[in-house]
Amino acid sequence: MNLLACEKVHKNFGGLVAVNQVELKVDQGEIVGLIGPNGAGKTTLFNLITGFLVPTSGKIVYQGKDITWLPPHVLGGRGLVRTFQKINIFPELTVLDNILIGRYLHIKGGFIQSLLQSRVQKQEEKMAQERAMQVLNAVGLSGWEGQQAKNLPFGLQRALGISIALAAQPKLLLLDEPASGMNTEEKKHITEVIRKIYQSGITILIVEHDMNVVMNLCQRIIVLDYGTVLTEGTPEEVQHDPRVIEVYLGKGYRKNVIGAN
Amino acid sequence: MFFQQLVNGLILGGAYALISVGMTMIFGIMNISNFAHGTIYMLGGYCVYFFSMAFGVPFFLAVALSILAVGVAGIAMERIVFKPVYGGPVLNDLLISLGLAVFLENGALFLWGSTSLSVKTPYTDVIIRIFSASVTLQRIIVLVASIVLIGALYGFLNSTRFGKAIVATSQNPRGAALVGVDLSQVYMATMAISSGLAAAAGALLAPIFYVFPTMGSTPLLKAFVIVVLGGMGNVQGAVVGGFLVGIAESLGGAYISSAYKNVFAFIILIGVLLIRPQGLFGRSEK
Amino acid sequence: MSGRLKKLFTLGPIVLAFLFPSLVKDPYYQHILISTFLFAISVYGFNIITGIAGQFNIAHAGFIGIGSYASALAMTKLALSFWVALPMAVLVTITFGFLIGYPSLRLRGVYFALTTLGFGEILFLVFDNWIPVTGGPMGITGIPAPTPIPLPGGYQIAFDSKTGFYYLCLVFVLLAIYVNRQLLHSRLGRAMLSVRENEDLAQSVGIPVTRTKITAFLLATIFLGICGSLYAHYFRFVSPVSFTAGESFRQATMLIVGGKGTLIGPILGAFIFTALPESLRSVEDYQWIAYGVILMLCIVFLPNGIVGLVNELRARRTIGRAEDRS
Repeated sequence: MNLLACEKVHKNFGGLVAVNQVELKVDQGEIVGLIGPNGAGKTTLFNLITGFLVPTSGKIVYQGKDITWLPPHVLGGRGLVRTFQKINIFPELTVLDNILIGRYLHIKGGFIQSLLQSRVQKQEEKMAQERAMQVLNAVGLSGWEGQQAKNLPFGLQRALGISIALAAQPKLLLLDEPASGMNTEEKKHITEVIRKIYQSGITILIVEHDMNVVMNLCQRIIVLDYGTVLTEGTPEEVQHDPRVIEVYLGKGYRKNVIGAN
Repeated sequence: MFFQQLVNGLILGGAYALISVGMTMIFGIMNISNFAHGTIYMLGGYCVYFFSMAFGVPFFLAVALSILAVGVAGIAMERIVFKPVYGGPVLNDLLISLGLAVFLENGALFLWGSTSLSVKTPYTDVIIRIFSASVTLQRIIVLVASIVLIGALYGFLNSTRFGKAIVATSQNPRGAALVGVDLSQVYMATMAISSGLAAAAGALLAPIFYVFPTMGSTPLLKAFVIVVLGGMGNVQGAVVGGFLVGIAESLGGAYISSAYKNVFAFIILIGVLLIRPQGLFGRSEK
Repeated sequence: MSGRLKKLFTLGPIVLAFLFPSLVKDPYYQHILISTFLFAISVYGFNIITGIAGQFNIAHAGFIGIGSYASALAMTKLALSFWVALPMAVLVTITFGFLIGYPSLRLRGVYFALTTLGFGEILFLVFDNWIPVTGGPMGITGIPAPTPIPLPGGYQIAFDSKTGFYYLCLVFVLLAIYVNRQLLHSRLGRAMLSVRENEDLAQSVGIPVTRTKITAFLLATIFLGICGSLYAHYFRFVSPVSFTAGESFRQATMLIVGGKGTLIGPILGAFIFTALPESLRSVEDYQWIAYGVILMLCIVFLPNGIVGLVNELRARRTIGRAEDRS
């Protein structure tokens, strides 16, 4: 079943075409990779899908409904959650509080109930804390719950960013370069985390530069270049596609250089 | 009457443009809201007073010296006050620049008292007639100087290597750093230019509006409105916005109400925020 | 900290606060505490919008002014009881809060700060020039103390003495602290913190950022209205100069030095900057320069204030102890 579909999505910035008539589908239960050289429009496409930007033309459909004009927080409420490549945490708050914020949609009881110290609200808070701790442990952040997020080592900050998104119980998770800036150890760890998330039933669309990560995780890969979909296929097919090799390494390279495992 | 107010508005607009251009540059390049900008304008006024009245320097030279002195002071402010808060939450640079403003304003009050000082030039008494409007030569000087200074700024930003580096930084700081632009030099230069231009406005207007410690608080507000109107970070926008607000204020003050003249700027601000928050020329980004 | 010790530290000061007027009869010290409480109420409001939600309201003092003038006028011109004037003042303040907040909080933080900067100027202009209503620069004088509450048997609770007013302020301060505390332990408070820290990320997990900011602002204005009303009926006189951007700045310093976003920070800051200047009357001229310098230094070296520093030291000690054990 189609969870997400982009229909002729197009974005102009003045005279610059950032996303060019992109057609894209993600089925429920898939884990799809979105790759392309720098400036190919991957982050712009992410921003369009998640409501941070509005397309110049085209339609975005999620769960069968048109979401083109909806703002990010509404999409979050429907299970469409994303992570960010750069500042992806709440720096001054503790790690536990960071993840608790992700639980926002799943805590009942408004502020008035909090003022009245109703039992329902207290119970909801307790459940939220427990759930947050579960996510924290699952992602490998055990022991860090009381630390300020900004004090976390870089790789763990990334994991934290993903766990905040996880806490929101997404149906479709968009990961924006989760492995960027990581060393090999950290990349192995984050790949495992993402694999576990996928195995728990969450559909994933991941933008990533590191070919190893992408080829290892994804069933299907979409290649973007100059805002246009160049090709898509299995990791095998894409690796061997001469157009893709050209786009990354320029003409003259005919060997299989990408994603040498 | 209408033409007179139009001319007044244009002159006011030129000064407003001078003040606002610097502020919008700081927004665009350093991503900082400088609430001390009004007090920097005030320092320009005090500088021209001391140079011309206490040391007897001729007016134009005094203005030039004021621009220089306050420009250098601006660099000091950037290194001491703003540098520590780069990369932190937006709230921190709001608060720290406010702290600087309070410090400067009350420092001036403490050192020089609250009495308004007058800066005398031979130009305030010479009246020129343009069709049905009469303006003092001093005011014409303000307008001409504003145009000259803004023109010089454009020339600098578009034609010199360093100027282009500054423009590049405002569009893409990481990209600029990658190609070897020294960001701290760019920041210091931006602050120097911004302070210098604000000081120029303060110095040029001093003979007209007197010099006193709180003289910068209303221009600060107007500058913010103009910057929002023109689009934050947009230099053209600040210039156009400056003239628009100057004229609107002049006409509004004459035809609607004089006591609530400053309200017009605020109404423009609310209007912009409701209708088109990115301003006239700003890029529409979330 | 053990549960019993914690209870002692929480209930102890509250009990002491209630006993204070019986223990200390000197009106000067009672005045200091009343002033502290007054400013604390307002700084707790400031804490909600700025400390927790991260949006800077430069017209903070102006809103207190709205509450003050509204309450003063309700009693002097409309001869209403204080117990009607206070809620009225709060309603008026909230209304302006909504009018100003709605267009500007939809946008990034800086726009809200700018809007409040302009609004504060407008307020001052109105307070200073609308003479038939606000009395202009001369302000409103002869504001009555809060209306006594009649009790059975011909007795009444009067508020024209310092003692009476002290308890009135104490009750509202405790309310302010309670609201702040519950906020910090609720999802609404966490949503506000997330908005302060990273608006985009907050949105992506479903938090309605604009609605959250507006809620924070309206909550804050409730306390500003309360503070304004109490202020008018304690000092019995209001004038425009008490409600300038400078005063907003002074209270911002109280918040930052005490510790923004914390529970004790606001009252600590209010106390320091009320009690200290009172005892350092001689340095009144330098007072504002000092505020500027203190705020600048605080942002750089102590961004989370005194309470933040204490928390950080305690956290470091726990890590130290944990490392010792391993």
